[in-house]
Amino acid sequence: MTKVVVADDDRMFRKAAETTLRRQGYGVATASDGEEALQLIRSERPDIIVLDLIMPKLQGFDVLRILKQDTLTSAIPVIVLSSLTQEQDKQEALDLGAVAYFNKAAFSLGELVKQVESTLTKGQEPCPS
Amino acid sequence: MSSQRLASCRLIGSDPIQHDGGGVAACPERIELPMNVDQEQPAEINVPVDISAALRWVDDDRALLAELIEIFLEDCPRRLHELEQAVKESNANGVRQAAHSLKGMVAGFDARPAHGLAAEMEGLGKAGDLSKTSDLLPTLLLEFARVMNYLKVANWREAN
Repeated sequence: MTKVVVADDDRMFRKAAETTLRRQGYGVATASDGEEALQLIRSERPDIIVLDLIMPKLQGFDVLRILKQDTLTSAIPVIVLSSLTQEQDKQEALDLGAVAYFNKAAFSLGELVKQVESTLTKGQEPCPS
Repeated sequence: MSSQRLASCRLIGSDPIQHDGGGVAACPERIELPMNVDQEQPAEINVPVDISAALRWVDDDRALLAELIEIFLEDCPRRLHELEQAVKESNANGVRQAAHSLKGMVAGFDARPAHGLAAEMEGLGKAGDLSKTSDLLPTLLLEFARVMNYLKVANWREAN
């Protein structure tokens, strides 16, 4: 089963993403802060990660940086889904190695599923956002 | 759609939140809002949430939307309290973090006024400009109270 880790401090979003992705046949594990996300990713070795940027304990930017510096996790594609809307935040996440960056306010759960599918099909090739 | 009557905006600790629908909901924190908005407003003019957009967000899964609203109604008062505390303590990072969370929470409901106020508050926290946060806070608390009350009483399951 294809495994997805969803890391977001918003319980509502975690529930929404988990329910939607499970329905599509994905195995889903969730984390509510950056430290928990790193632990979970290292133990679960997911096929793909959906990551928020502003989280307690460890920010998503730092999670992304650490993942990409670790040979055990650097190849796992990361989709960033954030409420940060400034171009510089998007650019920083993409520079750190995210394959795609989306604004939560303009992104449906159906689009999340499509993006996960498309990213898994394309490997690490950046997707348009 | 009949006119919407907004609740008195005093959200109290473990006491129930009162609203015209007669229902109650537990609220974990005390949040005092500055004014009573117990007045008639035509729902078509001043609805705080776009339920059609919320349904599009969840791909028309009404059962999931109901669960998400339940979570929102549980978590939102706590986040508002965190924001209120951060403003009182002039904690810029706390203001930024709490406002950012609140912004994300209403994004799926397309609650534009609430989203905009949270974004403004987040910007003030990010810039370390705390001089205006106390002025903005009451308006933000009021708007989020409107969102919560609307989601409690709105007959959104029949919405298209």
